[in-house]
Amino acid sequence: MNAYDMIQQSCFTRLLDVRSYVLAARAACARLDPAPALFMVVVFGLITLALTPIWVVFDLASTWEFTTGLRTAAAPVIYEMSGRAESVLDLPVGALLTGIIFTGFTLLPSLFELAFPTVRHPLLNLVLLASIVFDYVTDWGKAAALAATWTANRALEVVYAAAFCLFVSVGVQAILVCCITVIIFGVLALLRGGARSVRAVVIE
Amino acid sequence: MTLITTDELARGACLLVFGSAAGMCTVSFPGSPIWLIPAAAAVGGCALTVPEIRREALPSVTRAVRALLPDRNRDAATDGAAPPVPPAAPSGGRGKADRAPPDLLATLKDQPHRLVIGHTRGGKTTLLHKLATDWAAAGARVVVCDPDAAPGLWPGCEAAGHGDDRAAIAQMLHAVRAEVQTRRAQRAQGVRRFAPLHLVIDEAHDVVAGVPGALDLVEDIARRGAKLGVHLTIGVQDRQVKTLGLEGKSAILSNFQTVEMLRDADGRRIALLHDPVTGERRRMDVPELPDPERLIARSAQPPAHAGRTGGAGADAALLEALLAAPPVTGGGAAAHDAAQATVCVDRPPGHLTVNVTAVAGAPVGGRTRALAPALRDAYRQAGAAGESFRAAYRRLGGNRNDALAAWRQGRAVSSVSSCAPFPLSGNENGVIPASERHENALRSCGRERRENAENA
Repeated sequence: MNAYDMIQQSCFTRLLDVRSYVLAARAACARLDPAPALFMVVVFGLITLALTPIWVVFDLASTWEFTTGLRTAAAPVIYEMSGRAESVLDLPVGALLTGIIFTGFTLLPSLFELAFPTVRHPLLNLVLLASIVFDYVTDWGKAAALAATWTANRALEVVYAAAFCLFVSVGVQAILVCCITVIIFGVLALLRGGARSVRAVVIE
Repeated sequence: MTLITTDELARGACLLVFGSAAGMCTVSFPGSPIWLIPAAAAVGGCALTVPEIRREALPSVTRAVRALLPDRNRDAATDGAAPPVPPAAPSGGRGKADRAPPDLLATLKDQPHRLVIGHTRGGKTTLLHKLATDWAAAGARVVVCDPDAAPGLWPGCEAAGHGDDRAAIAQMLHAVRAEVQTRRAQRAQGVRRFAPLHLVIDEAHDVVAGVPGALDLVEDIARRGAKLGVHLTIGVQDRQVKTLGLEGKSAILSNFQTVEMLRDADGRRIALLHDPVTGERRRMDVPELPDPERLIARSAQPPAHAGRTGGAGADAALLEALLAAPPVTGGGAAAHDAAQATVCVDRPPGHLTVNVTAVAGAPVGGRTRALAPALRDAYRQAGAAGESFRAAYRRLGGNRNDALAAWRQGRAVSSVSSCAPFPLSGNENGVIPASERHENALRSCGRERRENAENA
């Protein structure tokens, strides 16, 4: 066992550890019978449906808009790269490459937040923190705009915006990932036809 | 389990405060990169809450700040202000600060018994020392059995074992055993609460193996001591049951909170806690603890529990008198002022043990001990008798410089009649011819030169 894995984590750290949620969801869904699996898929599917627009609007789209300038500046180079790739490989990779790079700009912070929530490597910690801060800053505009509709008090508006921004930039995507994991493994359990485990007793 | 650590709280605060500021900048100044400043502050603040980054970055930040400070300090000094306080010297990680994160120490203090495993320089004694002195400061009775104990090392504790004094350790353990029995009897009478008594045994592999009855007491306390308020803390160099003499009784170790003192890949001290029930291992950072060695002080009096017992007869009295005697000549410190000495006679019978844990400072001028008057006379006589200094020194010994001085005095006295060994011939008028005078002088000078060469 790695020494770093043996660290006693606080409740807060474990709360943000999406990886452990995913593992727990996978373990819970692995031996589901068809009926509970179906129930889980439906319920978590509804939660996902509710959260996805929030995530898209307040996290993905806001980050997309914020990085528009960056994408605009990088667009000629990317199109040139994609054009060369098309001519060499004779494959329609241009649109794909462009899409990947553009989406990468947007999703990179979120992916880092999801992948390394409890990592103890200094450099990865820095990247993770920068990702969280960047995501938070990019999400602020829409969160603050929504918070402004809740109250006329300026100070209270900032507090609301901060809390809501934290929720949409960190919380929503964590819950979304867990829900999607449950859905995936629930569907797999449904496709397998339920649990396939038996208990064996060996008698000497 | 901790709800949230201070670092995490600070990280959240940094993110909320500086991140919100950066977000407001993006809204208030669209298209302006000014948001990068609070965003960088957020990232930097968050980064400093990560212990690994803090450990790496803080020295650089401190150096940079210090590089900026001297000019200001110089200006302040020239303005008549008080001179700046010099920064504390770095101590290499040990003894840097007494403030310790509560996690490891609190976890260990919560347990009834503790087993601290660590090799030499692993921090085992430092951790034991911190625990023991904390308990003593809190008013608990702390009994320490440490074969490497030294004066002042265990403040507030009853320490035994100075200079590998196993007899004193046995005596101390006997007192603890008596206390356990007393408490057990009190418990039988209905007493349920007892003042905490901590028995701390460092280098337990030596103590348990070398002190009769120690193993039984350790086993008794580990099994039943917690009910009596008697707690055991053991420091040992490995976790083998054989080391502690617990072959066939390894289950007793489940009564201990085992903590292993290690170093990680970066050389930092870490503690690995073994859960006695689940077998789960948890890593904890070792707080910066004060170095106990700095507490060791020379004492004018031997320790109260020094082994002066047992058959103290004429030999013991003689040794004590010698240790307390002032030096023969000035320049040296009295042994009892500088040395920490204990005398243990007839334990085991027929043996005499003297433990001297400090050495008196050398007298001024490099002399170690003045020559005794009788010896000085012997050297004078040797010099007067014409015996070479080398031969006399080989025969008599003593302080060489004093011996040479005494021998030269004797030689000088004899030089008055230095011609005596060389009979003067002379003529009948008593006049020595010039050639004979010259020959005598040469013989005398030659002998002196030979002796000087020998002495050199």
